Amino acid sequence: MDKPPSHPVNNPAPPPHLPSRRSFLRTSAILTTGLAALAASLKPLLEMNDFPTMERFLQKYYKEMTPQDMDKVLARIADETEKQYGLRPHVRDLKPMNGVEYVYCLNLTRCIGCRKCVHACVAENNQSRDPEIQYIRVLKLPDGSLDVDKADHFYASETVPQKGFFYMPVQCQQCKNPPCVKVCPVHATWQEADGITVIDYDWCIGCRYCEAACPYWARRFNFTQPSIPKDRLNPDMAYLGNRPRRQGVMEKCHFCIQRTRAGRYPACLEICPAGARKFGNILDPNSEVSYILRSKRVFIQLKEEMGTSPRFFYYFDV
Amino acid sequence: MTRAIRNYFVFLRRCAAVAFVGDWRYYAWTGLLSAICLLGLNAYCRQFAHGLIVTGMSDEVSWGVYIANFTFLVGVAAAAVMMVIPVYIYNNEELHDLVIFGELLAVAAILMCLAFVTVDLGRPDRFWHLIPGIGQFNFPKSMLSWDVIVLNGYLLLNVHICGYLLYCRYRKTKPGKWFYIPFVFIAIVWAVSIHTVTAFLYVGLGGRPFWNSSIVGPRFLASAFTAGPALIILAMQVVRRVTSYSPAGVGSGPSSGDTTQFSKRRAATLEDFALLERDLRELSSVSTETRQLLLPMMEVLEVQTGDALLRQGETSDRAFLILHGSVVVIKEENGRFRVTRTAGPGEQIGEVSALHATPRMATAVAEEPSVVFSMSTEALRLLMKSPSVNKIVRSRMYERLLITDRALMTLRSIVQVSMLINVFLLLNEVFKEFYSGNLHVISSKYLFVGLDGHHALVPWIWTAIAFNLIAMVLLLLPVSRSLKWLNVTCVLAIVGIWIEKGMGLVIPGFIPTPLGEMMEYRPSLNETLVCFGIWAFGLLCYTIFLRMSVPILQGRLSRDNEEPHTWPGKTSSAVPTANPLNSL
Amino acid sequence: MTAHTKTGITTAIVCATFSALAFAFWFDSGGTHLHRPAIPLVDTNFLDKSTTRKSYADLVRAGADLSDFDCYVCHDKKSPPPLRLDTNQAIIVAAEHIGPTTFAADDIGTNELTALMERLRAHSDPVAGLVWQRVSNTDHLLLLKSDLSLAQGRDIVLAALNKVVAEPCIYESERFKGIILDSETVVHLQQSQTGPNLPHLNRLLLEDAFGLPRNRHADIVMGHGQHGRNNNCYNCHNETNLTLLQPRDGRQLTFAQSSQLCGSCHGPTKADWDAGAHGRISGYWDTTKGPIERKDCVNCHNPHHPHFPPRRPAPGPHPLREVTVADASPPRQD
Repeated sequence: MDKPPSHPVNNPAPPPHLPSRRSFLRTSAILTTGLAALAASLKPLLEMNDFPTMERFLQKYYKEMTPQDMDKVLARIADETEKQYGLRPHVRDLKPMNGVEYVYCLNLTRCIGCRKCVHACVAENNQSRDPEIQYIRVLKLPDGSLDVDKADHFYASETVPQKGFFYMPVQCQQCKNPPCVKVCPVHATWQEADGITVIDYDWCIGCRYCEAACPYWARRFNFTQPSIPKDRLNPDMAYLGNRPRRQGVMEKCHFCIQRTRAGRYPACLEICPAGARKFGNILDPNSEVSYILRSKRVFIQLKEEMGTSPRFFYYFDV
Repeated sequence: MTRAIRNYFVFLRRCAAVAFVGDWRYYAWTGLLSAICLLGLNAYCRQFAHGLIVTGMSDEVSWGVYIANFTFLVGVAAAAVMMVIPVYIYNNEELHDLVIFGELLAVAAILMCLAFVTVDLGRPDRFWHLIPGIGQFNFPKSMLSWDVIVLNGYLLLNVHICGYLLYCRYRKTKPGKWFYIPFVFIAIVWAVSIHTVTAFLYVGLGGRPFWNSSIVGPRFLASAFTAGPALIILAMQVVRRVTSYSPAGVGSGPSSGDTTQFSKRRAATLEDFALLERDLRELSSVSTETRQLLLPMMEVLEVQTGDALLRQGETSDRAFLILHGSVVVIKEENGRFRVTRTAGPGEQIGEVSALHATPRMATAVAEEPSVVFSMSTEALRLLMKSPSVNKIVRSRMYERLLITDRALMTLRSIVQVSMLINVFLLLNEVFKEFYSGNLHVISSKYLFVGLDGHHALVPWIWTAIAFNLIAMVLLLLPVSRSLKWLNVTCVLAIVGIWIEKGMGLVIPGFIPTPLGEMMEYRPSLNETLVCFGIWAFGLLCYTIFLRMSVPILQGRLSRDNEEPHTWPGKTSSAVPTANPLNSL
Repeated sequence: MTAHTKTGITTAIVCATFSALAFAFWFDSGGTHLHRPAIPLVDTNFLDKSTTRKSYADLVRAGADLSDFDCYVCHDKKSPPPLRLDTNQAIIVAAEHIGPTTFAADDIGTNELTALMERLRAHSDPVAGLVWQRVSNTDHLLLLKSDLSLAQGRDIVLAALNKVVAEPCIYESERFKGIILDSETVVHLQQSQTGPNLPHLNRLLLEDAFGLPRNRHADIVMGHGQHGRNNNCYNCHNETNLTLLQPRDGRQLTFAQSSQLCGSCHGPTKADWDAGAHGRISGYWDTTKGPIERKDCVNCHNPHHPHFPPRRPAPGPHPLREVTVADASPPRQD
């Protein structure tokens, strides 16, 4: 019978407290090359130009910040923006006004589908141009149906409006019962007292659960560093609104919070050539939106059966 | 106290050390997995630097293969606990060791799940936002927060149970009941919960009619309990194959050996063989030449009443065939003794340890003065070269619920029933979606027949359905009792369910978008590399877990063969004589 | 092969693989390896918030030249201008109210002239190319000279433009791609591609193409109401005092109060407009913080042809991943 190779006769046992030289060499060879490969595999991290600083890493949740914390953060945001775009922005943290609850009304008889609102929003809210982020999506629907599965998103007819179709712009509906707020695991998105559902961009972890939950496809994700042309930056910014976002976080329409909480109309409303968009305080009986919801015979909410109770009403001129 | 801590560290260090030791197959396998891991890590670094744009995901289809794999693996992790139920609820003790392998698979699967979720995050550097107390944890409203709790809890449960049992085995102490039995029962319930919570992630989204259906939860469980046990069936066979590689030759390895001294032992003769043949007909096929060859490797023992031929827990590799008399086999569990059987002339004892190099599973004591053939593993194998002898030895081995084949059949029945339920639920779903003709079926239409010229998923789902149906049919037929066909069935079931849970569940929920836009999804190369990397990482973890736990379960790595204590840094990872741990 | 040799070889292969990986990772060129076509920035015309038209009130506020609105430069205070109808009982608008067809010297300011000449020299865009072709060969050489005087240039340009005006309709979609047409032009485009107003149409097209100023008082095309129901000038204008407007209830309104006139017939829309539910608004919804600015009817609607003209839509979305051809197909009609 062959003596097995590991039999003590073949291999005099090494001193008890030392591994055999062969296995030691073997292990270290593998470890060394393995560690080298491991270190080299991390090389793409060097291409990262937005590595979080300690300050940003430890930044507090919006609702837990004191005014002093917020001032520091706003100053830092202004610094970072100035460094990146060469323009020092005016960044504020606007609080909701008392006795105000916003409602948006859109007149489907008037919308001609020109998409100027889409681009006004992009310009006002410093959205990434490439890859493209647009909060508003205009749907071209055939007359007679509100079934969005029949919608054409990419229409490029010579002129609008085209006969036989109507146009329905869709953006965040700022629902009273928002599914996105319910599912966010870190409370990065919540509804404020004036009805706007906001996102703390520095708190979002980018899991995109809210994007899956939204029945209106209103939320957008930054798949990479956003790119805004320097000469088109809007320097009038708000913390919860149009300040520049980073890679890996969500964003969406916030009713132009930097304008509306200062008492102004949203950008999409001002540019609409047909005057199809209306906005205001529903708690004020003299506002346009109160008038509309009081006097128009027909107005609807999109996908009402979802139970989201949106603050966005589509109405018709009857 | 410090002694206990020091002991624990020594245990950990030895476990870690043994992970680096193995034969060439081990190095090849772990080397390959490590290489794939590194590729995945590199791909992930690219994603971390540039963002999720390197994947194939978009605002339209915002979850992809990462979450698809996560969903599938949660099911695997949940089903690993299926091993536990027969053992603790039905008292099927032979499966005890397998429980550990099943739970280790669950640990590896959960680690993979956590990895998949982490790579899917846009800002993984902000993970601390999830920690309750420091961050903002949206519990109980957000289903993801539930998922975080249940997954981490399940991980801790399994790590505790396995770790505790293995450490007790290492220390050769009896595990304290209260340290693990309650946790096991919690783990059983918890396993169902992890998968239900994951299902609720999807079901709770009213805006996605494809997911917002009450059948998703039951389907998840049914498919998990099909694919999970199927994976375990395959994994256990690999474990069995790999751990049955016995150390080369006789006498290698510390032999704590048979501690009994027999009153009489003598060399075997051909007459003994003839005697045995009267009780064991199959021996007639063994030729005289073979018998002559065998004789030097065998001896005949004459034992008195009460002599132990072998003791539970020992390491020894001799097998016995009873010539004359009667031997009772007693198993000790939790301080209680149970007679499992009595062996008479022509019957075998100890062949399991001989063939599988496992420690003795019970004690064999002579009930009356008896005469037995004692033979080495080599002799037994030589004997079993004769097909009829092989058949009788194996069948007797299996019919005594030994190990894995019986366990495999138990698992097979679980897979069978679950697959039937799974297919039934699928039919329910298809009817509901397509019979009424309402407009919510649009995602199902896209999945099963395509929509508007988009049909990327159609071949996938039909392949999955075909695989599932074939697997179901095979499971119903007795042909799948044979391991070869069972393995084919398992592979079909696993692949079919992986497709239907991944591509067939996650992706169609996004197509078309809630506003009716059609955008298809294809994973990018980078994304695929990350997935491979994580799978390789999981397999690597499991391999290393096995590499550590098998020697402990076999008794070859225990406190008995620790070095006399020196400072831990100096103690070698190898035992003084030739390294018995080299065999895996 | 012994186990040791096998292990040795395996170790060697593993180490080699790790080393190869290390090299591959280190010398990888980096980047995302993604190729996406660049998305062009949107034309700033689509970001323009101004209204299509300016109302009289706007002109007054801006202190603009209102001499065009002095009707009695041409008309006699004592005799109301007569209405002339054609065989279909449609109003024949006086040629003076349609505006001259040919360009005159003071129709083009200095800045516009310089820009026009630059474009002609380059003649890279289709309209400039067309006009360039109408410039005689000798004038080509003259135009290209750097020391050309402004007066000479103006003569050359005017001659070329007026040649173009006299031709058949110069409108082709390819030629005018990217040029935003004024609502007046659009209306004429629908009505005047044949007929006596064709030269006027060509002139309007050229004005749009080269950004030349528009004579707001002219360019009247009648089209108020279906079947020309409301095409009688004196339904709205006061024939005894052309500076005033008269609704049917007898009120006398100035041009700045034109919205009241519209509302005298369009009641429901007027009520909506009063409440802010119709028409354009800008400024502050919270009037305690700033002014609200309500636009007039004529800011968007041409009073003589109020139908809102169609326009070119802004570019559609550019999704992150490739959209296959099937998406460009018409929406499902099932």
